Amino acid sequence: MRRAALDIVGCGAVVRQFHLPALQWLEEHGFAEVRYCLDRNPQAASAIAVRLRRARPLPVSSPSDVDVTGAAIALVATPPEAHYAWARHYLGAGAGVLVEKPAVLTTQEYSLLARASQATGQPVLVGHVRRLFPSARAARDAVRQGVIGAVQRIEAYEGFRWSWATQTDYPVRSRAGGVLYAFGPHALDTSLFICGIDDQAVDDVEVDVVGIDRWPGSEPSHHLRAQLALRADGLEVSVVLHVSRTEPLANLVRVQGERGELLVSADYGRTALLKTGRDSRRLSDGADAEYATSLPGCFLAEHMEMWRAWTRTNGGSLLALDHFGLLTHLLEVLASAG
Amino acid sequence: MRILLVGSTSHVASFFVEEGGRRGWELFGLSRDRVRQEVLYGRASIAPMAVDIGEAMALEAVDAIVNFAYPRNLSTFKIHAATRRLLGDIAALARRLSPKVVVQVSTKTVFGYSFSRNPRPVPVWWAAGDRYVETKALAEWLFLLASRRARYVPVILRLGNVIGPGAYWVSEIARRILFEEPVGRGQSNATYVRNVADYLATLVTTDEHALRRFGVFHHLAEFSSVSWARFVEAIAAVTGRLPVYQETPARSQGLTVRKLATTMAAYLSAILPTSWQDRAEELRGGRHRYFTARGRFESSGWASPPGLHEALEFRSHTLPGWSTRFDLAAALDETVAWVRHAGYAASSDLAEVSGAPR
Repeated sequence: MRRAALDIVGCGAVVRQFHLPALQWLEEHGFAEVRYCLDRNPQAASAIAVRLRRARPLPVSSPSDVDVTGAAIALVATPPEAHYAWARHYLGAGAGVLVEKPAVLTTQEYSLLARASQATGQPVLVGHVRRLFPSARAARDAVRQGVIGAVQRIEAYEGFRWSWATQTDYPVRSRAGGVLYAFGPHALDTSLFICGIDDQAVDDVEVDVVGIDRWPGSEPSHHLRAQLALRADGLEVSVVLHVSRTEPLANLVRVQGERGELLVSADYGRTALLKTGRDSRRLSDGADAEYATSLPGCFLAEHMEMWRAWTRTNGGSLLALDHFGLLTHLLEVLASAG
Repeated sequence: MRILLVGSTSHVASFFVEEGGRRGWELFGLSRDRVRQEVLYGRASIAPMAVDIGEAMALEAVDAIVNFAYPRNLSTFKIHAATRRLLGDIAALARRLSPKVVVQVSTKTVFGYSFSRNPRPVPVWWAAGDRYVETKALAEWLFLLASRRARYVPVILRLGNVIGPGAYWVSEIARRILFEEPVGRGQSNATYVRNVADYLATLVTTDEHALRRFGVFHHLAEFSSVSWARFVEAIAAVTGRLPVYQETPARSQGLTVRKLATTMAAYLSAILPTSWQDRAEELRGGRHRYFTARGRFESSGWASPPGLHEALEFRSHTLPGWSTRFDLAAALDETVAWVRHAGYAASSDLAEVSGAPR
């Protein structure tokens, strides 16, 4: 078994809470060994490094500060505006990249990163962990099998009253610090994934912003409601996105089709709810969820996907960068709309 | 009136801020996090002046301190140390700012998630096994200890299950109805968040002697006798789903090795010096995360929260003369409107999702 030398770039809350247990598991089972923990904040880097076997903290603020030669895989979990630069830096050094969501902020960055991945032959995976939830996969299967007929409408709600601590003022100062980039990627990607339209080429889909209401009026916003119309060959879907960090919301994706409706929780779940007429039933994913039996398990599954992509032992990952072109475009459109 | 709010970004605190603002009070919000304060109060017409602990200490005297804060998202070892630090800060602020009254906002859950008898307004014996319950009960004890020889009037306000826009119990019931998960029809033991704000305002404006005569413990659950079924039916009507009721299941009893170990660890963590607790946490390292990830506190084994099946009433024990400002119909109206707004009911288009959120 090949052991990957892994670097962590960005040692914030998402790494501490979700990736760290998975990385410890990978180290224990010989899949990877974390080499460096990179962060602007030396204390944050040290706090993660001490919990790993031989990891060393490395205070850095930009890719040019560090030579990353020798890394096999990088986990990029910085604020989103730095994702592209770090991902390019590691690809250039011959490493595969697992980047937290959203992968990049613009379609231009997306194209450049996809090209760099192809040129270097190294995989780029995006941490859209909800694709691994059995509930989302079950709903996607149902849509594929035509259980609800043609998809007509999607509603995605995700909101919490902010209760977690911040280390910087990034959420209120950075253009990418708002709720659109915090909850929007998950809510939209889950919707596109379930409906099977995530792989549509950007040029093939006409996106019309029917309405948008956000506070504050420009990014970073903390409360956003938008209605979009997506049109492509054989596809016409209305999308409502409602995300907030000022109040709790229903935290679900509702997909309405000609013959029924699917409900998928934003939380980890084994099943999706299918409602057709007066009947309803729970759908479960037929596939064997190897690791995805809990939320921490899904993060482990995400890292195993990355390891397999690096060892070239999986054929096409659900998390591969190729699946996120339309999502990047939608986020870019919403960020500048209104 | 000048009032210092500790934990001013909490859900209940935001309604008290509205109430205080309406009455023209000067409000100061002590919060660990300015960014959070900016986000949560940025669009509100009334917001407390954000202060950190140093700035709060430098304030001129205040009339009251109201504490909504409690530590969370921490491990067993750290959470008790954080609770002691928080209550220590409040005691120091109370010495410095000479308030007439200090209110510790607590919960009926200090008596446990389900009751063995009707809770009375007395101190609770500290129970271990759940970090939320432990934290709230420990905070009550520390507050009482710090208030023994204090000049201010100490008040512990234990709230019933808070309902209203954005409240946990409302979203949990709505989610359960929508996903066809079972709900209970026990005593709701509910209090409407705007009545909580009104009662807090009454507390801080009541004469000191009257407060002392009443006693430290106040219980607020003005809709305690209303069954959860009443709320469930109102919410279900909005979501267009029929609720699935679950009859009260048998409670799991018995002492397991894990329960015993959890209890011992919790007691130890409360009495260890802070530095030892931090060290113990470090020694446990990342393994603790795995432990919690597997559901360390899954103790009830019920399909729906025990609070939805409560057979006993958490009766209000409030100041004589205070009456409920908002009746059940008003509480239900606002709650149901929020359920619709939050996406539990399908919306037809953006225009239909009307009304600015709080």
